[in-house]
Amino acid sequence: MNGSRRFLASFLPAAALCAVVALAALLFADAYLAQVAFLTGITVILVLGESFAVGNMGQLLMCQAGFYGIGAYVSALLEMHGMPPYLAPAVGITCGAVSGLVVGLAATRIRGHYLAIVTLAIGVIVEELLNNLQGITNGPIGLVGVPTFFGPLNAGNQADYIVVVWGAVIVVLGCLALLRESRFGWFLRAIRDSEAAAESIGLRIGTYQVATVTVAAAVAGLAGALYTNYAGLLVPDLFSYGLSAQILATAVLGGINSFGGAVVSSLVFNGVPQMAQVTAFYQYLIFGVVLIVMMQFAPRGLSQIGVYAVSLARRRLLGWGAGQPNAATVRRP
Amino acid sequence: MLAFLSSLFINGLVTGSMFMLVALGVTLFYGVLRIINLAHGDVFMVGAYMAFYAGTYLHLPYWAVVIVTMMGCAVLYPILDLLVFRRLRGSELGPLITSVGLSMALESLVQGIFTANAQAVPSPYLNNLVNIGTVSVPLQSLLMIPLTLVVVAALYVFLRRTRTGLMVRAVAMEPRVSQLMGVRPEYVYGVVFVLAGLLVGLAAATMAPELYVTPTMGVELTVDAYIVVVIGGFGNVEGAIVAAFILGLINSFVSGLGLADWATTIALALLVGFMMVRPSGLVAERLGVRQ
Amino acid sequence: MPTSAEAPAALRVCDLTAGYGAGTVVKGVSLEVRPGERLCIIGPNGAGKSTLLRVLSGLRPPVSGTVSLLGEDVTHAPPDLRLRRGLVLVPEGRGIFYGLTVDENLTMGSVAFPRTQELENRERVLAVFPVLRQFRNRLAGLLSGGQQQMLAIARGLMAGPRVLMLDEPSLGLSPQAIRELVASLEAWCAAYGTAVLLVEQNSSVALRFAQRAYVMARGEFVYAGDTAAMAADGSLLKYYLQ
Ligand SMILES: Nc1ncnc2c1ncn2[C@@H]1O[C@H](COP(=O)(O)OP(=O)(O)OP(=O)(O)O)[C@@H](O)[C@H]1O
Ligand SMILES: [Mg+2]
Repeated sequence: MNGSRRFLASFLPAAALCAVVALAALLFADAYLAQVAFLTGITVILVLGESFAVGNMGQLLMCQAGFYGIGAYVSALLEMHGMPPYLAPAVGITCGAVSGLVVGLAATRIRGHYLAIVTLAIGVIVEELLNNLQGITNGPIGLVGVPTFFGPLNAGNQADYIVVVWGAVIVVLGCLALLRESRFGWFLRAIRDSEAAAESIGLRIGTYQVATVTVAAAVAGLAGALYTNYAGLLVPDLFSYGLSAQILATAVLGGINSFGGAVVSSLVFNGVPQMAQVTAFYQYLIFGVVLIVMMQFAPRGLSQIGVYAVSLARRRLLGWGAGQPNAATVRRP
Repeated sequence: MLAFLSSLFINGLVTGSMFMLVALGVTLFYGVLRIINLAHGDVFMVGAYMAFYAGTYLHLPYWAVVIVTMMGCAVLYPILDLLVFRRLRGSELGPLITSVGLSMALESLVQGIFTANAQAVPSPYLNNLVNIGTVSVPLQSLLMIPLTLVVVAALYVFLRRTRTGLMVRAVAMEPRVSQLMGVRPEYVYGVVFVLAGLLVGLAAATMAPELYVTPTMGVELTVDAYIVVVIGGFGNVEGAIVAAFILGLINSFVSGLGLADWATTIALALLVGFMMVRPSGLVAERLGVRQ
Repeated sequence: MPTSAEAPAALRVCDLTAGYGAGTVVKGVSLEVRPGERLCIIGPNGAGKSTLLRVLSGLRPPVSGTVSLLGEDVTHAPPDLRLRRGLVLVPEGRGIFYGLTVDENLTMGSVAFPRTQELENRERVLAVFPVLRQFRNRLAGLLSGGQQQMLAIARGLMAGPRVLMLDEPSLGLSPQAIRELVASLEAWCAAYGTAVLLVEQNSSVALRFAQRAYVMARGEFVYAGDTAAMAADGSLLKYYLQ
């Protein structure tokens, strides 16, 4: 397959799925479900960024919630000082990218376990700063009365919100799929698979890592800006380590580096429980247990199960094409 | 002023003792199994609930609460290992990811059983104030220091003077070669999980009376433990001991300056700084972690 | 008293195949080590010698074939069981514990056995490698290369092996150090009748030490015979080691 075919193959199914979800939400959602649809869209964006970074870089980022929080707070503060809401996404992306750049540069030479710990620490630092810089963030009480895109979500504007967030999901999907199938993505995976080999052909590992962290952070910053302009209210607790853990968990459950898997897993593990009004307690329990079980038996997540199911079905029903899962696209983290 | 400083100092030692007991487990996990376990603080939390249950519902005397909690954690950890980590031996990031799931599962399970309400663990020594010079400290806190010293000495003797301890160190250095000497790595891993359980159980039983026990208390402690381990050097037992007390004192003095809110931020900044500048930690590597 | 012909082979390997993933590295190798015999395997880089020893020690599973030790099948036995039955590997690159002292390294050698055996063996081993005695409390990482190799072998002997497998012990050592090592090893074998399976690149050392030799190339034994004959016919050796 050439590059553009691979791009379409990774973009189209996931984008189609997103379009279907958005359409279903537009057609059938009541006010509550519209809210769920919006928040699930935010989750998908966050998870896509994580999945892209972890999958192509082979390193864990544990501070998506921090980047998300920075995007949210900065765009909220700017809007409270008069910036029009439609600029927020650009601001969110910029803030995310800048903070990602800073973190990436600080951690240029750090990898593996160490990078996971450093990013975890950075995520917690962001949360602490949101709490402690009271003069700016208003501390634990949070920011109230942040402008929103279309006012409080209601029957009149729910379609607008859904279109905005799922539109953003599809744009993010497109950008990440492009990146993944570009030379950049190719080099990233070369580094992931063998640092020594990549270094010997002259790839600068640190530079690629910084770029990837920046991309993931920009995506999270966008999610933050979108969230701000829907919620109108921000508290530091929204951006805790727990959220980073959930984002990582959702990405892993979907299958690292599988965009379709990221969407499905966000729907299954975040959207559906909220739809069913499962309490946060059960949602957390399900997350934990499913993550443990999945890591034992199918560490490549839903995408591995999907590939397996398809090959099983082929073998059983048609008696052909019983292939191994494609090791190039689904890979154990 | 002197009284104030010395109370801060004692406070720092007490906090440092707790950090040390928790961080030793984390550093042993890394040194011997090469895993990052982000659920360690949650095992502390489960231990604290064991202490709560034993003290409040079973009405055990305090010394029995301590023993029950230590034993409970020492049994719990190998079971968790069997269920959660064992299948992922040799994977670098797999155990880390699973430990995130384990942390979530433990938190919500405990919340399911005990609710999210803060609980208090009874102890007879809590209201027993001891005067040291001009400072008065609860006996409960002071208890921590000698207990910790005893435990560290015991750990040291175990690692340095027993054959099993020798095996632990050998597996940490050269797991494949140790196998050639007839050491079964799984046996050593089991020993490490039991040790980590005993240490964290002691920390939980002795600190729980001074803290409010909640299902989410573990996360913060996990983070503290990793700060200690980064400063002390991953897998480095001596380093963890030194770093725990440094962090305890920093925490105490920062709070003493009226900056309690900033203590975590400062400590975390220290972690990031260490990782950038000196990822091998303060003290030269001892347990044989290969970079 | 049974004659040596009736006694079971110390180590018997039948048609052993092994490799890494898809690549087969050892292809149907058979060999026999008689009790007390000194055997060597020589061959070029990448022939599969170390892989063969890894399989024999139980660190890697074979694909097919059997391994038996003193008449007992150990094809699927874990490393610790083989060790207790008397099969010991001193791995390539020494593999001593640099962060442990010389004494602790020796203790590790017999950690799978009762402590009484440890004390007894330590005396025996130090008698053969007297140099180590003066460094007992020094970290192994601080020893010279030759001393480290002695330590590696001494640690292997601490298990009281019936069959000792050595993987390129002469690597990186000076001729003088090699001579000392061989002398110590010969003294040990003479005293305790240990069989040795020596893997070497340095064929002159190997042929002088061993009684029989196998030449291994591309995963197979391409020649077997007495070392005396091989040493005499230098062209043969040259041919196979190309
Ligand atoms: N861990 C491994 N994974 C994959 N292939 C390996 C591994 N170890 C060795 N090999 C391959 O197996 C083949 C045989 O290696 P082995 O180490 O057994 O050779 P050797 O005869 O001991 O060589 P040398 O004399 O250089 O030590 C080589 O082609 C090597 O590349
Ligand atoms: Mg070799």
